[in-house]
Amino acid sequence: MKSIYKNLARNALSKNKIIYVPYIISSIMMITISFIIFNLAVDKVIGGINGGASLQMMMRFGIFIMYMISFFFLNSVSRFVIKQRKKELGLYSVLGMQKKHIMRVQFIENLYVYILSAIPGTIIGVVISKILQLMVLKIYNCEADFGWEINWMPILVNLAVFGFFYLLFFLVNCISILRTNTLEYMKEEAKGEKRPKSNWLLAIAGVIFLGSGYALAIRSQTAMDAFSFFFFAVSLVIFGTICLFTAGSITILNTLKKKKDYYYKTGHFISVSGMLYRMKRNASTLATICIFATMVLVTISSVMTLYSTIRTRAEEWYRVDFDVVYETCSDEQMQENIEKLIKGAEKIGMNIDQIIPYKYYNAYANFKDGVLLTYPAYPNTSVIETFTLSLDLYNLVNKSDVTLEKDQIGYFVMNGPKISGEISYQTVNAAYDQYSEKSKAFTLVELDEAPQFSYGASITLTEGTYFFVAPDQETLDSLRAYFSQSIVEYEDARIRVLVNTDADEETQQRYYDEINTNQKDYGFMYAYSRLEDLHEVIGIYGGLFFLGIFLSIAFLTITILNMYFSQLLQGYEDTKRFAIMRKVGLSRKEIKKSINSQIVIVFLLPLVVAVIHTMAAFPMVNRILSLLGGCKPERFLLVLGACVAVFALVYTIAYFFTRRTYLRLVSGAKQ
Amino acid sequence: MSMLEVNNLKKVYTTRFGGNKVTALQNVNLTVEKGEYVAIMGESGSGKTTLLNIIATLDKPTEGEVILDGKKMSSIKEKALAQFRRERLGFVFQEFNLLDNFSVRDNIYLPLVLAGLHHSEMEERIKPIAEKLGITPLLEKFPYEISGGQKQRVAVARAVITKPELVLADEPTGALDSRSTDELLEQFANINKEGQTILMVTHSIKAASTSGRVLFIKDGIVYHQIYRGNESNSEFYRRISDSLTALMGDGVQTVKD
Repeated sequence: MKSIYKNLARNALSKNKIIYVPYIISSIMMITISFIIFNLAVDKVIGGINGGASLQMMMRFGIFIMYMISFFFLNSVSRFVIKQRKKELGLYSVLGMQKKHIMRVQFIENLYVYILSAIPGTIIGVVISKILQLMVLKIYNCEADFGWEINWMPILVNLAVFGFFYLLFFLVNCISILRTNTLEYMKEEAKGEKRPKSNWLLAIAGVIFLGSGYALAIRSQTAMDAFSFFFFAVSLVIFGTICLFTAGSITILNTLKKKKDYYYKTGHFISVSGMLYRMKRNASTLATICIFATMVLVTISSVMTLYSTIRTRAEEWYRVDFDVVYETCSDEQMQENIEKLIKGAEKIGMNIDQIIPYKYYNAYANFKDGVLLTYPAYPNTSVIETFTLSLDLYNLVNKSDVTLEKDQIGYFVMNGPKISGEISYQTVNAAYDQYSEKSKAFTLVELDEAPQFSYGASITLTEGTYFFVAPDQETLDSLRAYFSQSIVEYEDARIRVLVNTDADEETQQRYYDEINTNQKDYGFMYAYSRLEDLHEVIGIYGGLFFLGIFLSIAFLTITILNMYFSQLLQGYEDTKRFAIMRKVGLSRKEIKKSINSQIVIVFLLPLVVAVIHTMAAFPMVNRILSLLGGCKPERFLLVLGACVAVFALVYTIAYFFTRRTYLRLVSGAKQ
Repeated sequence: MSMLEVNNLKKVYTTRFGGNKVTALQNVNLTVEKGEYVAIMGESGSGKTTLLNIIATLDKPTEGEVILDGKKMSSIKEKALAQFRRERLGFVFQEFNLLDNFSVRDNIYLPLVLAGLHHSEMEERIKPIAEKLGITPLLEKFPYEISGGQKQRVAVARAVITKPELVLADEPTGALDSRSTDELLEQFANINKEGQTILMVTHSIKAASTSGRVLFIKDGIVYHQIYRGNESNSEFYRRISDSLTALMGDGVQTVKD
């Protein structure tokens, strides 16, 4: 007796291949992607790399979202599958199977689907995770403490979560089985569908949501605005998209339908009423696709832009081959330290180009109405980072001969707006209630280039990095009082020595190893090497780039599967409709044309709206990118264009594939 | 000249994987004159629906030809067939075949819209027809909101609104209750009286008894035909019934052989 149920379940799966194969494939993909994200979130190797911890925090959030998406997506697919099979279940019922027997068959079917997707899903997931691990390690140039051992925790949790999902799907099926009687099963298809009604309120709400989301994105003046409003703007756009796709589209179509001159035309008649029902059914799917598509476009173009510009950026941050930091000491002591550095270089055989001791003042500040207000604490919002040095040092390290008048201050800005006019200095206490007296005002003079020393990767939430050059040591000393109020001002206690060389990378590495292994002899606190820093920064961005691409592919996969299923579902329902139209006198060609135009709209709509969203997001994302290391807007635009093109291509291929299946379905019933 | 001529029609179906051949129709000849109301009777599987589908150009004969108003159907190209179908033929099906995403009005308009008529003319045309069929109050409803009998009347309206030369009906009363059946048959008779040629396939004696002539088809062959003459519906009903009994008896004998 038991084997009968098993046979029935097995038969059902193989007879309904056209539905179950994509169902199982998408199920496998969901399990795989979820597992990989889960594994990234808890993987020790990933956690150990630079920036790995914050990455894992993101991934933990990601896994939550991924499970939510998986649940809703697989649930809709599972419902679709069971809907297609109602007639078959009705037949079982007619043939004398009780509801509990049908449920039993259902249980076995669900179990099969779960097993068939969980096993390959997990295996693929583990393999991809291992490959990911290897690649990340390679990008980060880490010594691989790579092992073949498998972390069972994420595997088991992932399996349990999906097992729970399938159990829920089964229970939902059971409820629908219990609530339907045999006759209803057989008639399931004939049930009418309510006509779609216009909902002006929701449509207008959609326009308002979308409009304000766009406005926020486009009008965000500063990087700080962009950063703080980003999620709000994203939420507005998501709500707006959902409203417009669901209510907006139907309202527009209903309005078109009321225009008799437009509606009663051969081309429009079938398309408009076809689209009405299509949109009613698919609007939320299309909105989801549109949102996913936007995410893919923004994510992938951002990480690609960052990655493609990071080398240039990093070279701006690290201009000095070696930067050695000492505690403050006497001039004689300093001279001795420099001698040691030179001797070390001689020992290695490295030629030194430039070796200069220097000092600068680094502070977070607020520049407004010509006053530079230095903060006592770390940055909150709307601050700039400042570096102040003397003109002598500037000319020395830059090998330039810039001159400044007594009451002038030279400045250079990176990643921020230009300033002009006058500048005076002021400080404020920690309670923000006592302001110091202002310094005298200086006239700002823009410099041609930044001072050629290292100032580190400034991935900070500031609105720009400003370099100020005081005309002479005396002025600098008088300004010192203002910077000493700022906690970030530590340079006072340190002296740095910059070393530039024309030696090759290998020699530089040997020199860096030499001074680091004998740090005590050289007497410095710490030393930076330009090459080392470059590798590290590029590594971090490489990891980001890699994960961004991976997540984009995951999103893209979900998008395409979503599309495929919504069209498959539509195909089943349209089959009968088009058979009727043919009988009434529509030629096959006309039917095909009408189908094509409708599918094209359904496919194009999310893509077009996604591109518009992305364009609206451009100014905001561009500003955020400038925070994360900055890039030229043209570069971002170029990358974005390329991403849109590639995305459209992949999407189009998916479209043709889906269309083929759809047409096969619709023309399957020839009579 | 007859309105519809069917000459030596033969249809052989080949099963999908070759091999078995099933003859659905063999050597069928019939003519329908303008303004006639003809019923074709036969049991399930007798080939009557195949015959109707071939006349409707939805299927192609293996041999023989169908001539409508002097025009050979086989000479019409595939492209022009759809247009031919919607301009010169009207259809009424057992399952109504209304589109659930169109209102009743739009369902009736469908063939006219395909023909490219202006909506003002469509409105003019629908008025008298809807009035006659008693569906004027239903025009703005959707198919799922009306009963089976009403749906079939809508289908009739859709079939005649193009002023076709021939209305083809495939078991039009098959899915209706007896009251709706009576109503529909009366409407068919009325339409016929106004000059509409109707060819109906049915296995309901009641439906056939409203027609002017009944053809009996069995195993793909037209066996017999009877004319109503001046008989009333009930007299004609009895005669059809007798003919069927004779035909059935013959069938039993064939099986015995």
